[in-house]
Amino acid sequence: MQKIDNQAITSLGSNENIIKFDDSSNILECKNLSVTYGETIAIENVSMGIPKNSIVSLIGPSGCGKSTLLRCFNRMNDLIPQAKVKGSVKFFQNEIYSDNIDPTEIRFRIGMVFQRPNPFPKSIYENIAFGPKINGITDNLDEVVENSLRRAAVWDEVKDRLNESALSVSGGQQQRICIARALAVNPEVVLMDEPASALDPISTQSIEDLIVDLSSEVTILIVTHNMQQATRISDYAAFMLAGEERIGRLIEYGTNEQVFGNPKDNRTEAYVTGRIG
Amino acid sequence: MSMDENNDLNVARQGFEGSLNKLQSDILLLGDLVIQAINKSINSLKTRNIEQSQEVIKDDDNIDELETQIQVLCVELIRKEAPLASDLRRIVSALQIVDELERIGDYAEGIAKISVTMGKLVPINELVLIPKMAENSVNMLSRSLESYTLRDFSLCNSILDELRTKDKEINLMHKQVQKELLNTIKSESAEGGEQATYLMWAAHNLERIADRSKNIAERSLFQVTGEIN
Repeated sequence: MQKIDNQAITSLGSNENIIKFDDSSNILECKNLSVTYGETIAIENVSMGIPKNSIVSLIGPSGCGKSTLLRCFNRMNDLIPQAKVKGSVKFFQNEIYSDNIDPTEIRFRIGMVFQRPNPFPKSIYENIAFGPKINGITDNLDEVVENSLRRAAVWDEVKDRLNESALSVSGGQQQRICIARALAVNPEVVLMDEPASALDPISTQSIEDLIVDLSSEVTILIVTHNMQQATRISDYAAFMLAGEERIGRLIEYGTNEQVFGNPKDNRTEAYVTGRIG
Repeated sequence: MSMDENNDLNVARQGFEGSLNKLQSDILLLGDLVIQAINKSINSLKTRNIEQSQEVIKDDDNIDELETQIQVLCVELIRKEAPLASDLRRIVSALQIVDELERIGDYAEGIAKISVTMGKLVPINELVLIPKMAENSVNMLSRSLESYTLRDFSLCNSILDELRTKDKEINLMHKQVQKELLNTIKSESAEGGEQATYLMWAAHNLERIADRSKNIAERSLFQVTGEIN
């Protein structure tokens, strides 16, 4: 299997939906990306660049293809029967869907956190140590576990309960343990699919603070239905919408200021002001 | 997007849409009250109708009360509706415009107070250019409120350009009034000097009304662009 080179991407072509970043590079990008499930087209011709160390929100009504797009970025759609991906997805300029790329390596380097906390039915320690162990890391595991839990801002709350089941702590703590689990293998990108939607306001705030803190070292792509959350935390936002034919398309992609302050497209305006969706 | 589609979109948050429309009509009502106050204050100054001047001073309480009601509505909409994009810009510009209008109301009240202070003194030189300054300031205020209702970039931009030019004209008129009144102070009797001093303040208030009308046109453009200059 080919190892992925960490080369910077500087040019993204001329598609109008792509943000052009003159002075920065993109860690991820997709171009003319379409996904079908059997005969059904889920998303079509999506092109966008994700700048390194940014927080990008994917917003849009249910069924517009946000999660499908998110899953394309670490080949999670490979695990869905009948899912077929067309177009280009690049990570550090490497085509991640090419035959010589190992999807497991992609999933370690581009981690994922789901809507509902999904810790393994094991101890907190084992949850965090799981990824590093699979990667053959056996030395300094205690240190890796502590660092990961600290980065996920949950260390102080669970440091005396590391051998207890990860399922025994609160939902907010479980979600931060899942984030710590993703961070334990040092990913460059974390994909988050509505990570705070099942949490109370205080836990939601902790997750939001954590996301903003993490963005100095990790790039974050987050699906959220919470418009205020997207406004609070994201640097950029992408609005997707499925028309009558139910095919998800990228309608507008821009800075937080543009998308939530003065959107260019009427459909984005209608969505962020709650007129549709 | 077609007009029909826009109408369909507005159905989704009818209550909120209704409140935003009420916000706009309340601001226009406040604008009307302020314009009436300016016209009445100048008329009372010109005709020496002290009762009318006192009416303007009393009516300023209504302006202040309506200002408070509009501010309360804005805060309530922000709290309940968490507005974004054009909704947020509409509410923010409403808060700014209502503040400008209330201050303009204070300037009209100020002119009425000057009139009361002048008592039975007869104004000099038919108030020099003051009635003309008042007419132009009221015209600027009306145009700025028109701009507030338009929510269209090119129309709002064009009104702002127009008001910038008119504001410069009023500044020149103000200088002319100051010059003439200073000459009066130097050359006339003590009574003439006293009148001229009062009128100097009235002219100052009108110049400020023009400035604040221009500000309203700027806030109206913000409503479209979201850009704060």
